[in-house]
Amino acid sequence: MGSVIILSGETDEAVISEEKAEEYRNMGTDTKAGYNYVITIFGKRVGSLGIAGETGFVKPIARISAKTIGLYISEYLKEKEKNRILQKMASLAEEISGNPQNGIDCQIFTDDLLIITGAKFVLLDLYNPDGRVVTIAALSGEPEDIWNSKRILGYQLIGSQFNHICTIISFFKRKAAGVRLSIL
Amino acid sequence: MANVLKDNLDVLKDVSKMISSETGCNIIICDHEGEIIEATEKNG
Repeated sequence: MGSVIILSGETDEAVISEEKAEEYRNMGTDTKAGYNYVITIFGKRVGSLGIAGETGFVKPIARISAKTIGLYISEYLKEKEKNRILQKMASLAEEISGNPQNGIDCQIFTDDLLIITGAKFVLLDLYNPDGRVVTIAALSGEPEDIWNSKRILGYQLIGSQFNHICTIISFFKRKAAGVRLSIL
Repeated sequence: MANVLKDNLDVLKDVSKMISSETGCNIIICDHEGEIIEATEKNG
């Protein structure tokens, strides 16, 4: 029952006295007296931890246990994400070094860069031989954002040609005012 | 909403076991929907 109280979001803790436990049991729940505390990961409420027993005794144990679990899983997730990025970097480096003749798949390249850098958008433009015109070869980002960019600009970015990259940036600033954009 | 605790149940079980054995307390963990996802309490 303590988890239900915490689930409401109004409190981080729930103290269940013997009287309350009896009351909840009469309502048909399997409740024991004890203490419940919220588990948070990266500032989000993800669950609760409960220990049955005398509140004065179990309260500090429950609090520190809930915090330990939150901290432990946060660290585990950070480590997992770091490893995923390292794997992406390794595969990207392997692809670049293994494919010097044929070039690389531009879309895979921007997709990987998006994960590695955490940018909102990654856009890859290729210069033509005289260096004056650039062609957008690949674009990665949230599908919804890419769809919005197409809607705002009125055309598909991939394959578009611009006179110079600065033109693209000023074009974005003009057309997509108010839309946050990161370009690498 | 992703169920972070359920998605990392192996880690959660390990930490719960450690806490339970160190403190001598049986712990119950519920996810953000109130469902019990881990309990170190033995029958009785």
